[in-house]
Amino acid sequence: MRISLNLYGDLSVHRTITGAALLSGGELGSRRDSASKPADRTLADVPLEEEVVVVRMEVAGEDIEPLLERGIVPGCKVCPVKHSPAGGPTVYRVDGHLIALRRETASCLCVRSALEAAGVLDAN
Amino acid sequence: MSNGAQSAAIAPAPAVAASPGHPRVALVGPPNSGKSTLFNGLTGLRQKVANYPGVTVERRSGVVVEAVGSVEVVDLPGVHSLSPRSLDQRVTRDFLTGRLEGDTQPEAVILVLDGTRLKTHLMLADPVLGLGLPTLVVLTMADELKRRGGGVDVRLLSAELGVEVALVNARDGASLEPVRRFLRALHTGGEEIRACPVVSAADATTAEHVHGRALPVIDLFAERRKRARTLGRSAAFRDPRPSDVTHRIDSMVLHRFWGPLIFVATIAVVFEAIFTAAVPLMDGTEALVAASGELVARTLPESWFRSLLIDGVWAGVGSVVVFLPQILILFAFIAILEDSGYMARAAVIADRLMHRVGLQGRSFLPLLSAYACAVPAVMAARAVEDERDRIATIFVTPFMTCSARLPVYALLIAAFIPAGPLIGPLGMRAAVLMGLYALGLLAAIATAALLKGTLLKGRPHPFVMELPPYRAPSLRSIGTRLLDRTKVFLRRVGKIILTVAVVLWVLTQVPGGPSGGPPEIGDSALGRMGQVIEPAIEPLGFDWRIGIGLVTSLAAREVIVGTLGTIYGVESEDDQNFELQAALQQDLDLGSAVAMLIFFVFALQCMSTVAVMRRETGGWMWPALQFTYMLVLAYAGAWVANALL
Repeated sequence: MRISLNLYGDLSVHRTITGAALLSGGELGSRRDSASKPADRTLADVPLEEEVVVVRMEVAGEDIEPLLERGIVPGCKVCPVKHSPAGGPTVYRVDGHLIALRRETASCLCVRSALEAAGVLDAN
Repeated sequence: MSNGAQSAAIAPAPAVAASPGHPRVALVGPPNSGKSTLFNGLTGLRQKVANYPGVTVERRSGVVVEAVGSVEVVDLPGVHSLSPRSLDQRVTRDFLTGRLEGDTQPEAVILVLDGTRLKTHLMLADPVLGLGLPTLVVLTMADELKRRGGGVDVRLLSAELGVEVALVNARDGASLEPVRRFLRALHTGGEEIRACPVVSAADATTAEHVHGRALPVIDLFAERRKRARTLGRSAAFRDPRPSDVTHRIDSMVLHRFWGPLIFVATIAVVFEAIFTAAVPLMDGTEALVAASGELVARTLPESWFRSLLIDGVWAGVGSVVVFLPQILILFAFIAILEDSGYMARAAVIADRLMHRVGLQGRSFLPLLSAYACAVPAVMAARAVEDERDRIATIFVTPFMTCSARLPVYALLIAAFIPAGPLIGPLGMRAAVLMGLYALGLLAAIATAALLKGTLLKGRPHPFVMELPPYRAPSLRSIGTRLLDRTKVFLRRVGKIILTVAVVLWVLTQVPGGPSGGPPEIGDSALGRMGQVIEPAIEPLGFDWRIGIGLVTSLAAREVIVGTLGTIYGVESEDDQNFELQAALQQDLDLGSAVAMLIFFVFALQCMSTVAVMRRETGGWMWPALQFTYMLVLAYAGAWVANALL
């Protein structure tokens, strides 16, 4: 079964009252959430060198575009590679290139480990 | 100088002028995709930098001459998508769709994508192909892709996209042949220029997006990314391995301990270069200006015209041209740091500190540049994507101690601060100089925090910084940029300085003196102005002579040194500074001298900066506010200093 089609085909956008645009992993993602409830982590909690998959982005309004344009979209693989000095932005590898994000931005991106996500989603 | 710039724009510079017959091709691509390198490779020095009408975005264009005819290539600002979030993006979109005032839609498009990052960069393919213009897709960094074990089948990708695709090294002229073939086809009507058929539903949606009916943005991008993946797979794209060199350098440059050290060392090297290494060059330029002025003075007969030329034009324009070597050195460093990839890391390291005062990592570069001159710094602030952060950055740059303040500081410190040691090897004078630099920096930080807490208040936008792989900067690209920046700087600054210099000269000449010659400085219109403002500056401990200096220094800060020289009637060139110091000691005491120093730390006495501010912020509001704010601060600071000391 090509679940990736579901992910991309059923992408749906919910606008919450606060104006934040939430993206769920589609029908499938929500069903799984209710079934086994793997606690979603945010990207800010991921230790260095662990590859994860972005499943949901809780970034408000237009702010999401700079992320989307650079390939940070639901379903993409992200791996933290380097913390910058003194609690500055962390450098992530996204599709083989490097992008630095502040902690507060990273904590708006809900992720699952690549292994776990591979079971449900074809992240590639 | 301004005449020169104008005539360059009007006169038929044969290789550059955009004659109506040339087909125009737009270069579009994400930032760091090698677009500018390709542009330089194609056009060489046949380039022209101007602004798009009505906006501050630079329009870089050049002409490619081929046997069958010439083609004008326009290098558009780098974008990741065609959504009009920033000014750069809006210009790019409007130019491509033919909605930009004063420009018609280009005849064809060259889409430049980084071959090592196709998975992401191909997301731009659909929106651009959706325009329906003849398109060539150029994949750059062919050598890097191969070296790092990646690959792509150009023919498969071409078949999939329905347009020609070329894999090139933008730095290697020979590999640009497919691009030139495409340009020739615009004249010969070869098959390379077949328009893009709309091949997928995604194209249709993006085409709609381009024409203003936006889809929910996440859907759109998710759809595009999926399509980019599919394209990549069909074209047998193999991801290159992550660059080892980049990884190794980053582990040093972003290291907990070494990272900040390298950062500080880099700043120190840049400072050393612009303050020490630039000095002989600046002296040389100054001598050149003086010598050419003398030559003109000797060849022309004594007349009002000679006086205008020498005391107005030469003195005014010369005072700015002197800073050119320093500014060029600064730009060379910026170009090297940017092209090598370090600047992005510096921004990441600076971000934490800058964020705390309400700015962000990208503000670091403009603020560093401002230590040489605020004019290029204000222009450099374009790199700050977030509009509020950009305005805040522009607003605080004039507080950084630019080099035009140095001659004033040097004169006053030498005249009023004793030379003795303060603590250990640190002399009194050096300490005062450092204090003035620190005061400017503090004012900048406080102002940024104040602005972001009031006028520019708002939810912080995410900081998304791409870190390109480290690459050896190419001499050619640095050279082209220096040439580019020089032209822009001289044109912007030349016009305003020339105007102000001429106006000031006229003010020293009217009304005519009793013998028909120019009046005594005190009787001239300028002298009267000094006397009119005397009551206002008296609380600061300044008399009308200093007042005249303050008025003339509105043109540029260092002009005050020359003006005071004239006012005090100092004739001897050699001892000018020494005699000027003695004369100043008659008129100022320690309190009013320090007041004057503090006034120069804060006041925005630089018309060039004001002019550039107006251009970059699109109106008079910000420059007017900034001028007033800085003047109030300067007056208050000087008053306190004069009252206390």
